[in-house]
Amino acid sequence: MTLRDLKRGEVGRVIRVGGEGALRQHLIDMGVLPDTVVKIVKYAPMGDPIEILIHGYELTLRMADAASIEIERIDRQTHRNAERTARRNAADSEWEVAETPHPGLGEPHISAEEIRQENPLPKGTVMTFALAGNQNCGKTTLFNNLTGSAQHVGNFPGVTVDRKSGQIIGHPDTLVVDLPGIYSLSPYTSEEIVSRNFIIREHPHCIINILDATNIERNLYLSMQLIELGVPMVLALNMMDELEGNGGAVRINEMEALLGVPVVAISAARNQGIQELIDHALHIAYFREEPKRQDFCSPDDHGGAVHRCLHAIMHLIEDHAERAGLPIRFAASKLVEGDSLVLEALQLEPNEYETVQHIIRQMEDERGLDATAALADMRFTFIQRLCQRTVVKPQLSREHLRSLAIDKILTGRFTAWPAFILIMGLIFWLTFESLGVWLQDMLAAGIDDFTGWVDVLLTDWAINPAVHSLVIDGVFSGVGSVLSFVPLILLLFFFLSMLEDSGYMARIAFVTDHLLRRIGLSGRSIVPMLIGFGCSVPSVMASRTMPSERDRRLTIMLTPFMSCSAKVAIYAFIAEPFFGHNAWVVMVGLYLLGILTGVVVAVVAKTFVLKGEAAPFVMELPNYRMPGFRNVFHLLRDKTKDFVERAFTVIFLATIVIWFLQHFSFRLQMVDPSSNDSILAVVSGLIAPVFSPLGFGDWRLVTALVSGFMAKESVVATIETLSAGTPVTSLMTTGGAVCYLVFCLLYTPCVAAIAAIRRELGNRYALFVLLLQCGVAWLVAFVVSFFVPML
Amino acid sequence: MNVQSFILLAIVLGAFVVTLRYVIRKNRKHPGCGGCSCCDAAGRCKLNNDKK
Repeated sequence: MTLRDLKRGEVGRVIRVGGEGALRQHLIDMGVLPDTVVKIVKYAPMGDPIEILIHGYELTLRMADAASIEIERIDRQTHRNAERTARRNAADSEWEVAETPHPGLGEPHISAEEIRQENPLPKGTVMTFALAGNQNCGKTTLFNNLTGSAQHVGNFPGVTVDRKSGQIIGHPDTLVVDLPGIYSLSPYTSEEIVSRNFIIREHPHCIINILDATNIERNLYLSMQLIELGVPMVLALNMMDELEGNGGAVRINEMEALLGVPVVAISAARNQGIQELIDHALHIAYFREEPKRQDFCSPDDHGGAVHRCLHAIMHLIEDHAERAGLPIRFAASKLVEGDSLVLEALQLEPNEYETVQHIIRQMEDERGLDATAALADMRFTFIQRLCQRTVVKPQLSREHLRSLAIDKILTGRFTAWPAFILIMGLIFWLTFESLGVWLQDMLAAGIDDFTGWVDVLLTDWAINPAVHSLVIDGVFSGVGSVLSFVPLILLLFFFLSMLEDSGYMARIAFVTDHLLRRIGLSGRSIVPMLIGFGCSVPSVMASRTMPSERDRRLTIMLTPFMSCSAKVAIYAFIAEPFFGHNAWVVMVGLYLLGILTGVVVAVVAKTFVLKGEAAPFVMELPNYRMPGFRNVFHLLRDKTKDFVERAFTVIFLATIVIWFLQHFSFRLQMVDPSSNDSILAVVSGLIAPVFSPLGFGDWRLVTALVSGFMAKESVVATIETLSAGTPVTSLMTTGGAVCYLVFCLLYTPCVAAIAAIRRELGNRYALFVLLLQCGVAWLVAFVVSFFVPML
Repeated sequence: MNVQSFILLAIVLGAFVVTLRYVIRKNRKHPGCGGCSCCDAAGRCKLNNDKK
């Protein structure tokens, strides 16, 4: 039988992990190995994917992928008894290290022998530190603590998509690089390649490996591979407060002795243990203290098959590894795993390659497992023994119990979708109707008062009418109208960051995976798409976590259809005068239309352009946490700063240019702004007929669309400047307003988003997205024009 | 046009030139910047600061 045949609550033992390539490697890296016990926790509301409990943490995977895992069903009581027996039998002679004195790794040298062996870096060397660890274990929180920066963190796997760097506070000669979260050093995802290339090629002086102490077994799997690289390393056990708060503990001295690297207990969120970590990291980086132990395979383990295999290969490839600049132990284990990048780098002779293959084959025969599984099993066996000796696990943490209770509703079979719709509806209602509009009205009133005051002042000073108009009708009405939307955008970002920080975003991915797969995407695509509601630029960047290039392209094609927060200003500006209290319904409708259009485009693209199946959905579900208010505050501060900056830069420039083009003719004579003689009226008049069939052929509205390419808020500023006090309701009919809103929703994203797409996928793809969106926007607005009453 | 009008016009045009220079320089360094809060205090791209 396979894993998909197990029912909810049943327990099984893995017999064989089938499949191939990236999926298989990923499953193995996550600990799905022969002899491991798995339990089905729950099914997603639509019956797929499933959530399993393995090694004490929850993992989600699709039914189709679960079918590749052969298992045997076991009785729960039998399993519990077997676990107890295994724990009793675990300790062999090597592991009898009770009451280990503190090894003092990474601490000032005391003995004469140590001092004699010191090998410090030359004075003035800038020490580089790589911050590595699993996804969602708190790397970026630690990075912010170490460097004092305010990088965005989230309670979702894969928030960091590229490496970031900064100095440790008070140590100007240091550079910390925050690497994306990874589970192993296999070559299957771009984040893993980024991380391992950085460590191997750029030779950091120290790796700070951060582990989630509440899920230590899986986290140590990466640590063992990092230790194999032979780079000085410190192990930071994060979330120790949570572990200890639930009755757990870690015997730090024993762990340090068994791993051969300094181990420091920290809590990045509470800023505890950070100074100790910095001291250890600086010490081992400066004195170049490599891990004391790299050999984790035991000659006694299953007849020593893996041990002999690894050591034989290490001897065979020693010279090649040195030439290629690869750590020998790392190169040997990667060869066993069939890593093509390492094989290529080593440039083995045909004879050597054949010998390596024979050695691996022999090991597989002796061990009874394939090479990848045998190696992972060796690592997990070591980890299991290590944890049995050094970790007192809490029974079930409060956070986990709380998550289970919340998940009963938020991912429950009948409650997940209503809860999702309710939460999203509440967010939109609060943002666009009640709280957001109230705050916006207050700010708009303040801006209006200020504009009136300046207007009076300029009149008192007898300022020339042209200059007066430039300041009031151009700058003030343009920039002011955009600024008044700050509260709406901030509220939207606030709620989005709440979703992400609380851990609900991961559940949305879990719940929506089944639907998204039908349009050729995986549940992971929901993250860039939801970020797209904030801004398309980071959402395009977030697509880097996609496990396949095909998914990435499709996601990038889709995200600009998600209505970004800058468009909120357009919707509110047009919908409120036309639809009054029902404006928020129109806005929600626009959001849904954006999603729907994206879905249709994705289905077409999946059928004709980007054929194939979505990448596997194997993801960890983090516990729910209270969002960190410091984190949310930083995000909102950044957003405000950014929005205000854009209002005073791009929008400011655009309003002045538009004011000029509107007030002057081609002969540079001042004309009536509402006349058809201005430069703007003539040029826009040429384009306007294209939009006449959509019900908004007014040149002022068309000009606003063109200026919206610079920044979407500019549409509002331009209409405000061009209409010169004329209410927007007189520029178009209600039907035209609907079509205008639809066109604004779907047409080309702003220049910043196009540049981000260009950077990710190249010129041609960026141009394609630009043309595609304009075409789709026109088409959909044209179709919509038939369904709205044209007056 | 009176003196105060000239002064005001000079201020607005001066601000226009300075802002234009700022926007061009920023975008030359980091194409696509300005679309989100991806710049740190020093004007570097926080999302992508190692990409040239």
